[in-house]
Amino acid sequence: MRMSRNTAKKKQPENWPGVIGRPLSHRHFLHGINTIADLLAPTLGPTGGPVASGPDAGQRVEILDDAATIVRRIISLGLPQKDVGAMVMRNLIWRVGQRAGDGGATAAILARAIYRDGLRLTNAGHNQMRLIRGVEEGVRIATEALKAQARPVTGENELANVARTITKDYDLASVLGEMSYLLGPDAHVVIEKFVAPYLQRRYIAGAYFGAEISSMYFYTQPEQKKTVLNEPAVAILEERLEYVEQVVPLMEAAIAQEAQSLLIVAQDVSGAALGALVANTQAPEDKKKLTIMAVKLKAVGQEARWAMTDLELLTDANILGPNHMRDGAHARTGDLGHAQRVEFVNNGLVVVAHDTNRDVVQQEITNLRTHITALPLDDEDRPKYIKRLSTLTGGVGELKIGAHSKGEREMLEAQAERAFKVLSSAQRDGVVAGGGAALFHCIPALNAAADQTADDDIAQGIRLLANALATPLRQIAINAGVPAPAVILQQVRDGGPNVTFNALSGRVMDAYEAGVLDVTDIVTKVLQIAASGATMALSTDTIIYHRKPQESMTP
Amino acid sequence: MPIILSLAKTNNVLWAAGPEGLFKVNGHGLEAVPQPQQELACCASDGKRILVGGLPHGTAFSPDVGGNWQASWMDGVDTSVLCIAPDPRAADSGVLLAGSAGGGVLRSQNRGDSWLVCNYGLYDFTVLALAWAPPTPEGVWPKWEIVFAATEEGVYRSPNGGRGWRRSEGIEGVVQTLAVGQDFHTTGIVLAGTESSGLWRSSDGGRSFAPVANGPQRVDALTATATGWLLSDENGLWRSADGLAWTHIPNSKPALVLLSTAEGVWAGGEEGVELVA
Repeated sequence: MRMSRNTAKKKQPENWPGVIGRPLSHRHFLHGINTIADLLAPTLGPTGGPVASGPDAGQRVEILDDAATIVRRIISLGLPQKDVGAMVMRNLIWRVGQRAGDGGATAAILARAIYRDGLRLTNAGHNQMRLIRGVEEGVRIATEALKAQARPVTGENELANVARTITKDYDLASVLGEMSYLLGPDAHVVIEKFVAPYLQRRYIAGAYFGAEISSMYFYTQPEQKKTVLNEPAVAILEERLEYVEQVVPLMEAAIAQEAQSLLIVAQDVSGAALGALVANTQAPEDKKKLTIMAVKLKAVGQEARWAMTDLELLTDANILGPNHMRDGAHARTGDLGHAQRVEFVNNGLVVVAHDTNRDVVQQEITNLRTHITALPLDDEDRPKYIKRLSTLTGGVGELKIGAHSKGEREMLEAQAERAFKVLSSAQRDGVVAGGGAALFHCIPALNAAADQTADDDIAQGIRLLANALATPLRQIAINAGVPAPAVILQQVRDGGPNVTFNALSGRVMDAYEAGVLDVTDIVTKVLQIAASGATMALSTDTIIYHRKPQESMTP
Repeated sequence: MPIILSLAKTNNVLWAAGPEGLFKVNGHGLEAVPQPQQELACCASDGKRILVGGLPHGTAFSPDVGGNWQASWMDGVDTSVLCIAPDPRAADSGVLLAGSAGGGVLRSQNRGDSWLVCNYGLYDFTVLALAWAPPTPEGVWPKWEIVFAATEEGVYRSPNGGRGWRRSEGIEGVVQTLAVGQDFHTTGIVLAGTESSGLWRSSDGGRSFAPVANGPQRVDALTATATGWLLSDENGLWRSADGLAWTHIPNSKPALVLLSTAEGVWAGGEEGVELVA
């Protein structure tokens, strides 16, 4: 797609460098917008295929199937006339990917339809700014109409169906739906890649902390490098343990609690302290009073403090150390907490807590959920909060996926990550008829509003948006090889708000029965961002062409 | 007569287990079979092996119809195994689930040689009963492996063969028995019997339960049959076609376990084992 600088120079616009105004500026905008929309339109719907990008410097061709990544690979179309519109589209689609997780191709088609129709009406003499006000009013009405169509997600079937709209791989979609159902809207999923076709999942019950065991002598199942402690006492220390005097009080406190085992979580355990603990572990069974495991957490900084606090909350232990009420050397019986089961394997500590502190933990979970819900999907701290939430709610999911080629593995991983974002939104905001039907079913509400609007320009703006809302459904029908898409549109209109076109079966049917579903929040965001981008372009009359335009990797 | 808490069928042999040990049920009554557990709570069969759950080994299995026994590897769980439920396709998949007293659910993929704790989503780790739904019909997508776990504080549902669990809504109390309808994939009916809060019924595939108004308060045993449902309380057996309307079967004996087989329903209890329907 990228052209050399020499080729670009040959095709430079007449006023380059310089300033151009209407109508040339609009023509240039449309040129770029059309190029990107034409690129993405064939990928829309279940029958659309991926896009090949490359070769890159390593002669590697990337297989891409999400619009946001496809457009990110384009840093110039070679012609400055095209670049302005194309880069506006690139930014718009990237924003959709970041905020909604999916729907980039739909956004491109919608934005093109709004811009093209807006241009036509402006050229016909309508007031540009009032047209834009009409489009904005139409977006508000359509958003309400989408909310009215939304249905809550009740089970793993709907979630799998939503996942299928992203991955198109039935086995992966059902595993993603299942994981989202079990892990909830704030799922913390670790994706592990394999070098051969593979699909498996695992759920780790309990609070998971990355950790290192202080000595291999603490393994209770050495052949599996695993330790399991049932009903252990738990000591949490924000200090290094180096001396025997620091660990003896902990062991005495555990024995006083009549615990059979003791978990020590400390910043580090070494020297005589470690020697004393190992000596206890190696004592003959009849003399050994405690099975002990000492670990140090891998987290640092704020995450380490969270981990300590969460352990304290879950086990009801007091944190010991020089900055706390007591240090390890002065530990009392009541400073130790309890857990139902503790497991250490693969550099992970899993603590299954008793239910004694449920109310306090629940309150913390509620606070965290509120905080996460307020964060945008692309907030860089969001994964940290979700990870912490999964610690308190008691579970992490592991998705193991594999494929022969690196490109395929990366595509699977990207699809899975995108699907979890989308499924999270689905559980929060519900689903609507998929395949572009939900937007299509907003058209009557927009037409009714336009009929009641006195200002002709604003009414035209609302109608303009109504016409644009039919384009995603029409494009999906075209991609599915339907010879007369207008007939399909009419059938969907007649069927009512639950009906859509199932591109795989080629039939118009109930979207919920067919499992052709879209996430309400994503459809809404796609509409809002597409309309915002298109109206911004529509209101721009002048383009400044630089002699050496900067190419940006970041959209 | 020994108390029978659990029944299992392997090929043509009916097995019965209870605190007094493991028995083969034959024409002459109960024939004791030596096995390694001291406190036996349950028995099960995957079609090839007979397994017993209890203490001190958690589970032990015999590959040769009770001749030799081997203890399983229990993933650190040292409490008693109270129930074992083979996957309906266990003969091919080798998947079994076990419920323990405090250790939660264990899952085996090798017919009980070794188990892994699968407690994701559980809040109560005393699992009193496990029940699998029939396999998803051919040609249906997504293909779930639905299974239910009864605990001391409610029912949990797993869509993936016991790898993870989600609590069913509505039902509370000590749930000690479960039954899944033979036409589960069309009706979605699941029944749960509690120790003192009566019978509960789900018609949405076990996602939520509602109390059954005219059923007994205590349900000790429950099973789905080809024509409906059968349960037992402390006074005798009850029958229902839809799980909603129940009628007491006069002169029937109370049972602690009911097992539907091709030849009818077997009942086990304080007076041994008998064919009741």
